Amino acid sequence: MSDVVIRTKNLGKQYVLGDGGLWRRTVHAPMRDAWGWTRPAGTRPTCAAETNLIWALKGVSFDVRRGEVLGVIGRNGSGKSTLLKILSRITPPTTGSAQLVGRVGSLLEVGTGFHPDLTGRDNIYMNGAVLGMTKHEIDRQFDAIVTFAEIETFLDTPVKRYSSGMHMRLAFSVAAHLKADILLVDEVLAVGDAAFQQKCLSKMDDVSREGRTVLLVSHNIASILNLCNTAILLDAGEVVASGNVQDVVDHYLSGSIAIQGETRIRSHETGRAEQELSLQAIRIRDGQGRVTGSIDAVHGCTVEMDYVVHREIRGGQVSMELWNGEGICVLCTTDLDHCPESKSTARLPGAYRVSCRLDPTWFRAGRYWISLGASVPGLRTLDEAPHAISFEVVDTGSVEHKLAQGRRGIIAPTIKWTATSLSTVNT
Amino acid sequence: MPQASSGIANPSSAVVNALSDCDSLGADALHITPLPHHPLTGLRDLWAYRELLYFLAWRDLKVRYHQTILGVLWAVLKPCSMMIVFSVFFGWFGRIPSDGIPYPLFVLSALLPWQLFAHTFSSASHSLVSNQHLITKVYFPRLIIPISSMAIGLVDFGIAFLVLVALLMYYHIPILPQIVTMPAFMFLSMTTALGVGLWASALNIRHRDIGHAVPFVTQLWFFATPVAYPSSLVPASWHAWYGINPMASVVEGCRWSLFGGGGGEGSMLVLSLLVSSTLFLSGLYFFRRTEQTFADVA
Repeated sequence: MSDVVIRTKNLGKQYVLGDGGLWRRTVHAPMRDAWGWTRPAGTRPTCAAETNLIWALKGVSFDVRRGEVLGVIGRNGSGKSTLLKILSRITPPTTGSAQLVGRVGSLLEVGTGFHPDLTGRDNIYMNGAVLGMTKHEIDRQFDAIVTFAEIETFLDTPVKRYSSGMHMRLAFSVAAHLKADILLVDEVLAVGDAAFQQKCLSKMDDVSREGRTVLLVSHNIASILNLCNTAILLDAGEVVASGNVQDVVDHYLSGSIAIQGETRIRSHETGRAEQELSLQAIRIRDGQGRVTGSIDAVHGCTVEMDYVVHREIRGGQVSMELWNGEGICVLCTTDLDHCPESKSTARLPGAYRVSCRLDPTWFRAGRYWISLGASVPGLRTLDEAPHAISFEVVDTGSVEHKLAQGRRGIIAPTIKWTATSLSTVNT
Repeated sequence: MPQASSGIANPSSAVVNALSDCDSLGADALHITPLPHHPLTGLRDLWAYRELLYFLAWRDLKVRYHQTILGVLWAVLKPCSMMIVFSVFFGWFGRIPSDGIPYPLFVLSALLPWQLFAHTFSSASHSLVSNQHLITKVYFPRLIIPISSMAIGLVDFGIAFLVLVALLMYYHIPILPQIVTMPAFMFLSMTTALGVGLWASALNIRHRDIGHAVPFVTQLWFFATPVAYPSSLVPASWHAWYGINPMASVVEGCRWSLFGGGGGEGSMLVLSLLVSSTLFLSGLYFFRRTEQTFADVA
């Protein structure tokens, strides 16, 4: 008998955009769900009103063998989470089928079922039960969970009095002790502090060594490379690559799928009759000058911004903020930084392009956002484009990649150390 | 092929799709298909998840009187204050007949099953919406949610029942042998409440209008039920039809089990049983048929 423990065939999921007419929404849809079951969903006749349908997932077929750790990668909206929701039985597929052998544990979120008024102790039981653990299992693992989360002294304190770090550690800890033959994990490692993340990563590593099958959805290419042996790449709901994790990641990064590295900024209503300046576009170029949505931490990138000045402005500046995936502003820079003395020079009407280079070694792997703004400091905002563009930094060869040890810090510059020998021990 | 170990995610509701028959991973594999669950298969899933049912009920109970000063006393205060208000306005000022029973006792004996019903109905219909963070993140048989929401109503009933017993002793009312039938009437009350609650919760997750309608429907239902007045006030020709409201039979039955007397007519009870079981079975059916889409519409 084969060793396949997950098999999906032609899995598809269709969503209706908007909510249709009043009749469809209030009467037709629930009644169809209730009594239209004799026909499989895919064969339902579609009518004109159902034209705004999208396939979040389409014709997805793959097999996963026992003990395999499969990474699912793809950009936002490519159907990764939908796939996980179908396999976790949260939502049914529209077409196709899936089979899973053995006990399934799904971690779409950490801390599901936590109640702020309950104590840490109670929440361990509550969360464990929600994840599908039996009371007996939780009893047996209780001490391990508490030790792992490092919350011994706060066990009988309501969770609402916890710091966010403690809350997160407790939630992770319960999840990490879930025993299942198949684990479905969604981006849960994207949160929590770095040291604890590393602890969870090694715990996950143990999991796969014990012969459990893991399906891991993540944005973090570095953790996919570390943990998985095979991967599938989803784009617009379809599997575009599968196989060895390195090949799939290379495929993902090679730009063979549409990479969004440019945003056209629609003119904002600033509330004033005539706008003096409007931001037009922002794009990210990689080391070779190609417009791309994912850059590597070796070659860095250039950020390019276009704006139009409609009327002469004095004292204005264009600024950019770089935010990381945890919502921390990494840096802020303006086009006057290198020449502060020219801040009151007039900007004449016309279209302009400015660009700046971001040093590659600053970045840690992950997702970043850039917010744009133009203002006359202290006086008025000319235009703004919050979170105008996002891009991903892929760690392919930085120091942290070579010396994986779960470092802290928002930036990861390579700093030169010097060593001087003070004395030598003569033997 | 490993046997699915204890508890969760046992292969269940396996509507084996014809498509996957050819390369099935074995009979004990969990099958996920587009077909909605058949309403009756997969009920044993409910048994596999009984511990979650227990934990959810336990959570609701534990959180219920959290950070209150009076705590569980609220379960006594609510029916008692209602009883006092009704006794003053209807019993004393309104002189509403109470079939020879002291009016406070007359009202309280009906208020308890009524509040059990009203609480179960209202918490069941809101249960899915208030637990949607669970529904969109983990799988479990969705029926667990409305069922676990019944716990609070039951516990409150149990506590308030002690007050009723105290009042019976105060008025020197002898305990009659037919009191043993009382649990059956409670069961009828809860079946009815869960029946309408299942309908309301499954519709409420899609259209929040239901949430607005429930308190108002409960209020109308209250006046259609002989809580503050005896059913003898209702014209005799309507009596047979009065059973359409199962709560009328519940209230009449409770009073009969405590105080004896004529009680309701047999035909009324039969009609109530029919209505109640229809509500319950159709609610269960509708809920099971639509439960797979809850996460999508929540």
